[in-house]
Amino acid sequence: MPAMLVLTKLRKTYGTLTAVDGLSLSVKRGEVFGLLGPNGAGKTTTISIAVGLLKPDDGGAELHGLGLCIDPAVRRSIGVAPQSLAIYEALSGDENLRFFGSLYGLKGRLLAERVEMALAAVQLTDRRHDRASGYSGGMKRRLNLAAALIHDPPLLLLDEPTAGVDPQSRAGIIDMVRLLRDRGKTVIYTTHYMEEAQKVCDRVGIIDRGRLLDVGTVDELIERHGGSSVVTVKRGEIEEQVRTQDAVQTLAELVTQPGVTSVRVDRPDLESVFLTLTGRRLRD
Amino acid sequence: MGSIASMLSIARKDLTLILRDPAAAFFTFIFPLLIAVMFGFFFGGGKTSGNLTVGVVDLDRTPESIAFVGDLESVDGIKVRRFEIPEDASRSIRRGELRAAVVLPQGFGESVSNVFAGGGMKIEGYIAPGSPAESGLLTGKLTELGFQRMIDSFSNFTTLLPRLDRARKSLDSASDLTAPRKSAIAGMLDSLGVLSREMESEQQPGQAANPPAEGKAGADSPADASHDAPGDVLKTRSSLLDTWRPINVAFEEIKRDASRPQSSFEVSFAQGVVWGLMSCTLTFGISLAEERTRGTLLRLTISPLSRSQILLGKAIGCFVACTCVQVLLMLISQIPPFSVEISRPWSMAAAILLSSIGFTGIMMLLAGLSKTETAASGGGRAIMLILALIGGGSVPLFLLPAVVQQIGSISPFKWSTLLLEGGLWRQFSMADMAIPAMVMLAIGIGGWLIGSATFRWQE
Repeated sequence: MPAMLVLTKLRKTYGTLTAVDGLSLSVKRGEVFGLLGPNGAGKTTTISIAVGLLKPDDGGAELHGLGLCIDPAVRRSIGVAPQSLAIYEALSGDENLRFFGSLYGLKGRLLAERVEMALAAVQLTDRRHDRASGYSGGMKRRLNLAAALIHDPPLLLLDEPTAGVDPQSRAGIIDMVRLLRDRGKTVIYTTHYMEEAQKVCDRVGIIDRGRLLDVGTVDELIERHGGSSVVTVKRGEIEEQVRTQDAVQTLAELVTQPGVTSVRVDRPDLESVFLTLTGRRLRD
Repeated sequence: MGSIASMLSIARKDLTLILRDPAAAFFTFIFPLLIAVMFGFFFGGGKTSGNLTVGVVDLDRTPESIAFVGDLESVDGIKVRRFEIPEDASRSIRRGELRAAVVLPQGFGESVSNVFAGGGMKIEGYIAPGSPAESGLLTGKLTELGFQRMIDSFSNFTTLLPRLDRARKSLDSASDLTAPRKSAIAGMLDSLGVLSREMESEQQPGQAANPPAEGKAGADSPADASHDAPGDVLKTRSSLLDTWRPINVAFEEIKRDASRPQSSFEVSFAQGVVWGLMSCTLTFGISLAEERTRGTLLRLTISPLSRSQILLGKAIGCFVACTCVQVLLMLISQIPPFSVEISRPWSMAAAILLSSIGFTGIMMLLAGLSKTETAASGGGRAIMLILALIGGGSVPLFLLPAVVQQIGSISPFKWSTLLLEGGLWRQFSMADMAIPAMVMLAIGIGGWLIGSATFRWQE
C-alpha cells in the first residue's frame, strides 16, 4: 500500500523543551493509524507539523504525490478535528459547516450537499438548525468531526476525537472512523485510550517524549513488547497467578489439575506495551 | 476569487457572532446611542423644543407692528424670541440658536393700510441654511397673519373709511400693479366703502348711507354682500386676486458659524460614534484571541487561507461593523428631537469611511499583539479607554484644556471626532480634512501591517 503521509526526522523544540525529537513515520493510504502516547508526549505537535500549522526546526512532512504540507494548496487535502472543540457555539450545526466549507471554496449546491453528507455522517441532521451551544458534549464532538469532513479530504487527522464524551457517543465516533476507512480515507488517530486504539487502528505508533518508540499492528506490538500473559487459577479460596509466554498451553495444563474452581487469562495489551517501552503507565 | 469569498465568509461569520452575542451587540450598537443621547441632554439638549423658535425684531414699534408680533406669539407651534436689532437675530442663527428670524422694518404699520401698493407689508427675514421646511412654515404663517391683520383693520368701521381713502390714493400712485389688477382692487375698495357706510347707518338709524365714492365698473354689486361684514367682502375679493399677497417676506440665508456646534447633539453623536468605534475595535480584536483559545483559529489557519487573509477577513467584518455603527448613529441623529444637521454630507461620508479604515487598523494591531483574551480584553480596553477620553470621548474636544487637546493628538479618537465634526458643524474644506484623513489612513495601514506581521510571527 503506498504511503499517504511521510514524516521525516521531524524535530521541534520550544526553548529547552524538545516536543518532537527526530520522529519519522509513514502512514499508508487507506489505513487508520493510531498515535498513542500520554499527554505531553508530542502527539499534537506532530499533528500540527503534519497539517502545516507548525514549521519543524528540522525534517519535513509531505503528502505523498502532492507536496509539503506547509503549502496551503496541499492543506486542502487534509481534514483536522482538533482536540479542543473548534466550533462556533453561537452558530447552528448547519451554519458552522457552511462556514468551514466556504473556507475551502465550497459554495452553492456542492456546499449544500457536503453539509448534508457531513451532518448525516455524524447523525446531527435533526439538530442541524439548533445552535451548537445547545448540543451535548458528544454532539459537539461529532460536529467537530463533521467540520473536518466537510471538504471531503483524503487524509483526516483526528486529535483525541473521543475526549470527554459519553460511552455511547464514543462508540458512535469509533464506528464512524471505521466507516471512513471503509470509504478509503486515511485516518491518523491520536488518543491516550488504548482500548480505542486496539479497536479501531490498523497500526499504532507509540510516542513518548517526542520520540516514536515503535510502530506496528496491535498484535505485533504486543508480541514484541507485551511480555507474558497472566493466567489466574482459583482453588477454593486460594488464588494463584502464573506468568506464561504460551497462555493456551498453560491453561490446558492447569484445567486438568484437581481442585481448580476457575481460571482467567489476562493477555498483555497496549498498556503493557507502553509500560515496557517507557517504564511508566499510559495515564501517568 | 475563492480567497475573497472565504474572507467575506469570515467577515459574515464575525458579524453574525456579534449580533448573536447580546453583550457585544449592546455595546456596539445600543451603548453608543445611549451615550449620544445622554451626553446630548447633559450638555443642554437640542436646539429646539417641539416649537419653531423665531427671532423677532420690531424696528417699527407702531401699534400695528406690536399687534403683529402679538399675533405671531399666539400662533401654535411658533415661539417668539425678541431682539432689539437685526444683527443680534442673525448672530443667533449663525450660532445655531435659532433657525429663523423676522424683522418688521420701519414703516411696517403704515404698510398695513397700504397693502395694495408697493408689494404690501414688507417683512425681512433670516433663515438658517437647509431650512426649507422652516422657511415655508414661517412664510405661510406670516401671510396668514398679514391677511388677518388686513381684514381686522378693514373691519373697524371708525377707521375703515380713512383707510380706504389712503388705499385708493396709494393704488392710484402704484406703479407695480397692472391696470386690470388696479381695477379689481379699486372695485373691491368701493364695495368695502359702500358696505361700510351701510353698516354704519344700520348702527346709527336715521342717517342715510353715503353713495359710493367712485363707482368703478366690474365691481360686484354691494347688495350681494349686504349681510356680510366688510372683512368678509375682502376675503371674497381677495380670492379673486390670485397671486397678490398682503405681505411680502424676503428671507436672507445666514451661514453657520463653524467655530461652534449648533446643538449639543452635534457633539454628543460624534462622541457616541467614538464609543461605538471603540466597541467594534475591541470586539473584533478580542475575537481573534477568543478564536485562539476556543481552537477555531486552528481551523482557520489549517484552511487554504494565509494568515494575512484570515486577518483581512476579520478586518472586513470590523470595517463593516464600524461603518454600520457610524451610519446608524448619524441616521438616528437626524430624527427629532436630535435633528442634527449634517452640513457637509460628502465630508461626513468620507469621515465615516476614513474612521472605519483607521479603527480597523487598530483592531488588527490589537488582534496581532494580543495573544490571550485577557491581554486583548484587559489591556486593549484600558488603552482604548484612555485614548477615547483624551480624544473627546467624554468631554467634547473643543471644551478640553489646550494641553489635553495637544496630548489628545496621539489618540485616533481625536482625529476621528474631528473628521466627523468636520462633516457636522466644523464645515471642513478638503484642505481641513487632509490632516485627520491622512492620520486615519496611516493608522489603518500601519495597524494592518504591524498586526499582520505580529500575527504571523506569533503563530
